[in-house]
Amino acid sequence: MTDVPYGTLDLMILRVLDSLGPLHGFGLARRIEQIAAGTLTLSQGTVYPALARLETNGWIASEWGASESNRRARFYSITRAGRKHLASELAGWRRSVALVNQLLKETS
Amino acid sequence: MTPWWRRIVAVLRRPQLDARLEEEISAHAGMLASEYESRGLSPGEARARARRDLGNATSIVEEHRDARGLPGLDALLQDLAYGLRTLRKDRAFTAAAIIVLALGAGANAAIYTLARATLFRPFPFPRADRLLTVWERDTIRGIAERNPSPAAYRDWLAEPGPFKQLAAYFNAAPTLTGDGEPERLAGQFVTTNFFETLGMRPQAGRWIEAGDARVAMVSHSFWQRMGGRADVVGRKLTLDGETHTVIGVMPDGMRALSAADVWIPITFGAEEWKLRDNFITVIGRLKDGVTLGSARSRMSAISAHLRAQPAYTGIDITLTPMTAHAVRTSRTTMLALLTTVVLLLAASCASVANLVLARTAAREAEIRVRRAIGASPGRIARQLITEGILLTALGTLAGLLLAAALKPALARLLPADLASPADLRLDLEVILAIAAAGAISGALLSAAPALQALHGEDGQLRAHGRNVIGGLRAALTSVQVALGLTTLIVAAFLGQTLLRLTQVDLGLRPGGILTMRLDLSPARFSNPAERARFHDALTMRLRALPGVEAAAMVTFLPLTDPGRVGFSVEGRPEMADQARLPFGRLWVVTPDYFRAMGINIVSGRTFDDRDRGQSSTPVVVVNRQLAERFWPNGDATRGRIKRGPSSGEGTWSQVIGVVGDVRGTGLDQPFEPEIYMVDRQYRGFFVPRDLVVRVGNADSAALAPAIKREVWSVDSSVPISRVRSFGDVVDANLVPSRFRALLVGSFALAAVALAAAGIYGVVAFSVARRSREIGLRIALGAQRASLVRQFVAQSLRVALPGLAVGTAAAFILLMLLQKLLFGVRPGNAAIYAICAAFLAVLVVIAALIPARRAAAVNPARVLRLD
Repeated sequence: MTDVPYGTLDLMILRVLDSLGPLHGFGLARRIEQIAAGTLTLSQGTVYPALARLETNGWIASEWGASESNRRARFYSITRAGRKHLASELAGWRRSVALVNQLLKETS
Repeated sequence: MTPWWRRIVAVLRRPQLDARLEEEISAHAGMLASEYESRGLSPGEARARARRDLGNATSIVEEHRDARGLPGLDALLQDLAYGLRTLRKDRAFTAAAIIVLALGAGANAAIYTLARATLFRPFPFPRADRLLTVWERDTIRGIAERNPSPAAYRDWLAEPGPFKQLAAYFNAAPTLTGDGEPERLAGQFVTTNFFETLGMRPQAGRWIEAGDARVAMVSHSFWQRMGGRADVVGRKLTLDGETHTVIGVMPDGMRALSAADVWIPITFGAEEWKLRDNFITVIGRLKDGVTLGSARSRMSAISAHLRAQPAYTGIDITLTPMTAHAVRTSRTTMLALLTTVVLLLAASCASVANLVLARTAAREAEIRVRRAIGASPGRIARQLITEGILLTALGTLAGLLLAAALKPALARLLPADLASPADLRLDLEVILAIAAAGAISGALLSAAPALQALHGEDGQLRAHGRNVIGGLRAALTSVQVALGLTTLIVAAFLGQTLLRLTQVDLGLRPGGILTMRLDLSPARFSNPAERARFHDALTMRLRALPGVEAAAMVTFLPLTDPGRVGFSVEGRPEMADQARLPFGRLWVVTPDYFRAMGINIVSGRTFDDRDRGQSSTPVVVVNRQLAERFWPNGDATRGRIKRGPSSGEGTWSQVIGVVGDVRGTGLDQPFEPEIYMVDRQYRGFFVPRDLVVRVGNADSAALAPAIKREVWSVDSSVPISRVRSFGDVVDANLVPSRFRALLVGSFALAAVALAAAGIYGVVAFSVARRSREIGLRIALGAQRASLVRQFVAQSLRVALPGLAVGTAAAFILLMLLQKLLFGVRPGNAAIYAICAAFLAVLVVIAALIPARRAAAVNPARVLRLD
């Protein structure tokens, strides 16, 4: 399995939470698996350190809640600061992609 | 909440956050397992797969911690916990290291406070660098610094000088009467701008102002003696018979300049301001922006201008910064002190380095294992350094506690001229300095093992490295032995000095004598007849007290450095010249003095009723030294002596008796010629003020109040001070030597202990390292006894250079410190030999203990451990 660079995993989590709303760790891991299916395999546990990092930086918040099967689970949601961070990061990525596309066009 | 704040909180809440993660992960696992079960797997398989999917639990938790907290802090806390555990496991090492470090840090702290109290007294006046003392320099008589006169002060004030303020003061000793016993105070008469010049505001009340009369400012300590309450302002004090009102209290900082209890405004009339007697001290505060150099040239110009007046012929004006007076030294004692402490510190550093090196070798295995399971060299080094700092922190803390505990003892032993006990403060400054020193030495001490962790191949000490470390240890131990021997020898010499001092022949019988200082005011008692009346009445009353054998008065007590006078002997023509007169000590005494002090009469008689009358022949008693010097034939009682040159004005006095020599100045000073005059016949400055009462075996403490009562019943205004036995006077003379001997002695003890510990360490290390070799040799038939001998011999080989160097170093030190010795010379070989032998025996014992373990090695077990 390949390790996911921290930055990308963080963005994926933020994106997922942004579009799907509050999720618990299991749900989040599942969703990311679906998104990244084929391109990489992720051991589900790695989502937790990433969540910790995001929470320390204030981009997500967490609280206890009840899962579908009425289990006690911790739910994570994106904050306003997180949304801002996500937007600027994605913008950055788009710029990088455009630049690389330009390069590719030139060299081919 | 910033990320940093969240991280700190996360570290503090580690257990809760770990628990929460645990819960989350098991919930996650549960949900995953349920899913697998719904897909058809058995519950057991489902759970197993779920766990696998989640990944390595330990690394998840670790990464979670790193992500949410402060990895650095985490590592530090981990290191500290690990360090504490390791230290606790190896108790012997930890205890030894902490004791050694405590000794070093404690000595450091003690000396720092001592040095601060003696070498530098804080000068608490605002902008103290602008304060100067103004002196006269007499170029004609060759006097470099002389007190100016009131007239000179006035003339200086009139000139345009570089000073913002110029003030003057002189010392006095007013008698305080009123409730309680009459008391002599230390006082200063000051100009009204004195305090303003210093810039120190009163802590209560106000300064003296122009126009104040019959007022007084009191010092902080005197205020406390008055009760230390706020109502002191306005109270009345009767000084020299006049009532003064207290208007203010000066803070304790005034002690830096003067030990006065009271300050009173100068009340000179016009006539007194014209006095040309040199007894006042002038201080000034420079105007802003004026440098010392330009102030000096300004004063030169002024003195040149003043030299036009005949009173100032050849007089210059000099300026000295007042802060120069802040340094107070008793240089030789401090030198001895500092040298010993440097030696002790060196010894303790060597010891700890030794111990640490020993541990390094022992921890080889542990470091190897840690490297093997993936710890980075940096991590290991960090942990070792943390451990080193932890160890020194504990040692430093123990040392500071030790210093604090010993401070009262140190203060009690302190000679009064070195520092006052109040100045010995173990405050924040000291603590920070010692802590800093501790931190640095901690980092340095762990450098060796840390470096080894970084550079060793797989954490393994190569053979070469081992030899280097072994050699280093041996060298360090030699150093320890040398230091131990040096301090031991110096301590032995100082101890011998003290012993000799206590054995000095005083020339009198010091036991059972009570002394008191009666401050008879010169005004009342400059008339011999008046004095005689007082003495007669007092002696009669005192003799009536039960237990009193004899009572007398004298100008100075023996051992308190009385003054010397030039004298001439009849029949010696050269003694007409003042410049060629011999000098002797002058004692003015009442007739019973010799009996009270227990001084032997060698020939002739001492003073009695024949010498009472107004017209009786002037008589003197001399001591043996004087008699033998000038009348070697033994006919001293036929000679006559005069104060001053034989051609001078004094009267010739008949020598009526010769008494034994007495130590007048100090225990270590030789006998000198002495002249005794009877009080009744003496006219002059020196008034007998010290009362000596021989009480024999009676309880002197009980008699003292009775004696005081008798004094006051004769004259109730006489202040009585310095009530002590003559034994106390002798003891006071011993204080400096005792202090030095005890201090150096305790350091020596510590240094010797360290040296012994060092030897023990070296031999123990050697035995442990060579246990296989020993086992082999025993198995091959070597005698255990000869093995023990070999190790002991090894220790002696290590110690011998140390003993040699230590002896040489001690000799050099003693030559430098010769002034401190008495009754023993630096070349006294016996002391060196005894100390060296003692230390050698100690070394052998310290080596025997681990060496005997070598003999007890079980070859089978040791050889199997390959």
